[in-house]
Amino acid sequence: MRRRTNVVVNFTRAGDLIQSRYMLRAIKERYPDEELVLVTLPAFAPTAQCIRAVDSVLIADADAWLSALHAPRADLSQAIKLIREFANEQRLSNIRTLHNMSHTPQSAYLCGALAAQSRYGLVTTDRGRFSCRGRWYHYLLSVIRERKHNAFNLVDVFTRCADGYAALASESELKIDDATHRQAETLLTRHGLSAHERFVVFIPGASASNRQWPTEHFADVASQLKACGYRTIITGGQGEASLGESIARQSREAAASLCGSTDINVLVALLKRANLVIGNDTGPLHMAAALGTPTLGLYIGPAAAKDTAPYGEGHVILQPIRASGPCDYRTPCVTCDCRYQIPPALVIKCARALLAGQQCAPCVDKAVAMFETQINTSGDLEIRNVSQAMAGDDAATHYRSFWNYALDAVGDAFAPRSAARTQTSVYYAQLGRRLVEVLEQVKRNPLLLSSYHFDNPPALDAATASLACSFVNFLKVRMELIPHRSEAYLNYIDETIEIMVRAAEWLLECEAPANQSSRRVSVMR
Amino acid sequence: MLDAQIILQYVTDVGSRRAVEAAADLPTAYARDGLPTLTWKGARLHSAVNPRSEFVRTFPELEACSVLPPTSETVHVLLLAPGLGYAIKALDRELRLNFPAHQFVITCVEADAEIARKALQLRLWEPVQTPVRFVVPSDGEQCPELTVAVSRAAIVVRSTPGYRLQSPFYEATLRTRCTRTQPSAPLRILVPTPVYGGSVPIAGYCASALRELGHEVELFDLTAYAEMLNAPQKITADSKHRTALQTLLSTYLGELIVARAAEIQADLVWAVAQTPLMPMALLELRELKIATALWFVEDYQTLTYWRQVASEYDAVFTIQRGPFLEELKQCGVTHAHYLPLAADPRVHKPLTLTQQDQQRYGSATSFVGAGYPNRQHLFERVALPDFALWGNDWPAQSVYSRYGRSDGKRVSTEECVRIYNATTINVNLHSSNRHDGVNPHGDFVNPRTFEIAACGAFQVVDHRSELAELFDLEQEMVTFSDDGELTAAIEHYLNNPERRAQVAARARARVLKDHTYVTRMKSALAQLTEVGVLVPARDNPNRIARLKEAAAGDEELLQFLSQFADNDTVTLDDIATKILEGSGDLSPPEALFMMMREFRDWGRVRGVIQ
Repeated sequence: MRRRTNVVVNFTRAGDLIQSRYMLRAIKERYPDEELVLVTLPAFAPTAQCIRAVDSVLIADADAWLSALHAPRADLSQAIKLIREFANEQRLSNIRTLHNMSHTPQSAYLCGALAAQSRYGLVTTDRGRFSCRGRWYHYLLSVIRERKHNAFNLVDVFTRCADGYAALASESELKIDDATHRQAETLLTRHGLSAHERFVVFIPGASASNRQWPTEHFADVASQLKACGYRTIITGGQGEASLGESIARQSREAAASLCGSTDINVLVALLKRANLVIGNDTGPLHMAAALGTPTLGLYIGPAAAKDTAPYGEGHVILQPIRASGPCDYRTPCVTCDCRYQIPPALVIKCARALLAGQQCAPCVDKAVAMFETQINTSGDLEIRNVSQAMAGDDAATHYRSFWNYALDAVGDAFAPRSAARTQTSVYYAQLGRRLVEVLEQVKRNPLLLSSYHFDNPPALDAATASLACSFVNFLKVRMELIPHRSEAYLNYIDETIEIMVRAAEWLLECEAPANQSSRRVSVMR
Repeated sequence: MLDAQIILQYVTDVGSRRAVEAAADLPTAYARDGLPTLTWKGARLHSAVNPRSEFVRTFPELEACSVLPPTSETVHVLLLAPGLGYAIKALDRELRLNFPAHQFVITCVEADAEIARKALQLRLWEPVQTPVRFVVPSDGEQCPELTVAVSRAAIVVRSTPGYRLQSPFYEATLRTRCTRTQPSAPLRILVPTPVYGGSVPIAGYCASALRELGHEVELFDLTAYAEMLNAPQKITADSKHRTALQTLLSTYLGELIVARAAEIQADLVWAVAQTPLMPMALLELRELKIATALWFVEDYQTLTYWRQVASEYDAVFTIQRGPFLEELKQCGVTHAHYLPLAADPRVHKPLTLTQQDQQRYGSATSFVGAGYPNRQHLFERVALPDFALWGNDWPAQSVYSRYGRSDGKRVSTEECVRIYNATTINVNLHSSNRHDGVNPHGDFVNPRTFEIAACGAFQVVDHRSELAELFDLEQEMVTFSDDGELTAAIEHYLNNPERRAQVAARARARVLKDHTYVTRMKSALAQLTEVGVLVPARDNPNRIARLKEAAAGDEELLQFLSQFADNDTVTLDDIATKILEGSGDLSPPEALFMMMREFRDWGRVRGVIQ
């Protein structure tokens, strides 16, 4: 029989692939003797191949499928041949666990077609219906729908999807061989950098222009870095060549553009070798973080540090402050004003501190938020606010504590006891009592869960409202994806009630006097 | 031409060849009139009294393929079960009489070699001028000569009782003809209408007929844009601006058609004259590999825009032959075919009128149509009894002021049918801008001719050169060539109601048999398939049989595909619809098909694919 495999399907983006590295490692560590197969689209295959935990990459050649499906002369015979070739791949014949990291119907149908001992994430079951297994996958889907309340880094959510926790690895999560290192050195030499010369990498591109810091600002920073004795290398794909050339020209050659002249492997080697990476929220920025290289992220437009800050200790993110928060992914930006909100002077100031191995001075610019990443005791990434313009974010701590407890029973109920007896804790308890009422109804009739419309939470403070909204969203997603088979249905209901009970416990616990045993919610336990 | 050797030429199978060579002479019997007759397996193939009468028989069962090829081409006639061949002589006479301008070849297909041999010995039909060949197939399915003869045949004649006695063989032979010339799987056809004009209903009739033939048809109604197309005339008097605006709108409408054709994944766009498809749109359709055909249902000398577009169509069908077909060739049209107009029996039918309708629409004589100059002149000159004039574009001070009944408005199709039914004698005068009455050189036959006939109504129609090939001018249609003949015909037929009813009934029967839009569309699709404009179904990669080949070895997938017939041609959406109609969990093949559809939609949204 073919060697057993664990398969992860990811059709999203290169950045998402890199951010799933700990999740992949968690699966690999659980099944070290089995092959970990990453299924991805052709464009992301080189990135996938760099991830250390991945044993092999299987390309879903959607380009060829689309070509066969090209209307009006679609060739279904050809499409069937191609799909069968793919589905008959040996690595898909003996799957232990199948994870769908994408949240697309395409990947859900693919996962529905593959036989596996256990399937996680979005899959199709019934006619055109989707179901989802894995409570953190439900959380992920609810966040994709409404992300403003989320306080988890995407890496942490991904990792929890595989029941893992993202303890930092001792070795780099990305693979680089010696030959690639040498290729990178040769390339640097060709651009006038000696073997041990310190340099900064710029990542000026992004998937959309409203996520790109202006080229003139990058050029300005390059000029100032040169004055400090640092060379700058601009990286990017062939499509970003003009962007690189523009920055090089504006910086009067203080920066050298390597856009289009590196493959993914060489890029990884360059990022590893760099002293600092400055760039927009992109795959290469996350690669740099995965390699342990300090990064300075410029989070423009819809990019949000709380969701996708570079994972690891000590990364710095600058993000424009806007009343409405980051743009919505689905709503195209009209003005892109915030692109200019981060001044080059602030970037150079932070860059100099990071290059010197120092902490950045608190940001005094009222239009810009500055965050620094750190891993907390629960193993979650936190973004520490080092900006004077924004208050501290206890709500985020509460939020993570709530979800860790509700979904994984990790940590104590209402761990942040310092907040007890504040107005917020009163609100939390209020919310908990409301949840108990719902649970009482569900106890009488579990079917209510599938048709229950959770009312909007009562007027609470921002932190509690955020927590309440995220929980309502979560339950909505869970109910939308309820399985229809009786056995799975009952298990699903039980699991949902269990989550609700834990959520209620966490909320009610905040009213318990300090140092007393926690109150337990007896409903349905 | 006729020689015993010929029979052997067409016998390809060695065994059968020997059988023919060695065939024992069938015993010859003689009828009362002295001519040979034949009994085969206990049944008489010819009259035992008077086989001679077969020399003069007529062929009401002549099955024309709706239209004969141009006179420049030889017409192949298939005579099935000729027996001793009496029918050959009669058939030769009838063909020469009815189609004097054509050259024919008669191919006799005789299922039984012994009968054929006897026929060749006796040669009862000699002398005939038409070349005659005999094909005696060893095996109907495998004989290439038979296949060629059947596929070429424009006319098929069945000779009874021989046909009846071996009908399974002959029917199987004819089925090979159908499968060869008709696309055997349903096509997806877009029929865009013109924005306005007389061709709009014809587009509708075509769509209905194609649907009746089992194809998936979408009638794309563009008449809502008529006001827009006329708007430039209200906005500016400057012809330059008018032309520019109308061109823009035509381009827009053309793009609409392209977009719709791509959206529904059409196999064919069937356009009638005046449909707004300009060369750019036709090129786009070609790039999308969507076949295009134009039925130019107008007089090519009056409406000349065809010169700009015809060569961009994959095929052009015309209601005129001769010079027009030649000119089309010169313009670069590869496939040009004659396809006369027709009637739609579901629309054009006999009605039992209420007394009110009879009063409103009835008259002894009437004419329905637009006020072209030749009509104005003729009806001004010739006083017709109890005459009613219906239609639009008649000058106010013309004959219309005396006889007009529709306030100068266009008469709807429904009203036309009522008028035809309510009128004792419908006058049908083809339009002309260049004559003052009958156009002596008129060739094509207008839709009204077929429509009045299909209503079972009586008409007198001006002489047209193509009319004789479409109707029997003695039995089915009454014509006139000048004012005098018109007056005489009206007088004669007004006083002979029985003869009137006979002619009308025969004309209706003829239309129902040969001149419906269904027969026209069937013929057109056969032509398009024959010349390769339409991909034969067997080559379609989306045919279930082909999908099964691709799925070979995958039992689950094959089982899923077995829900469809092998000859079905399916789209991804058809498959998805079938999947969603099912119940329970998706099987792996079903999930993969759904995934393909999601990828396809994703690709379309992002513009990766169309």
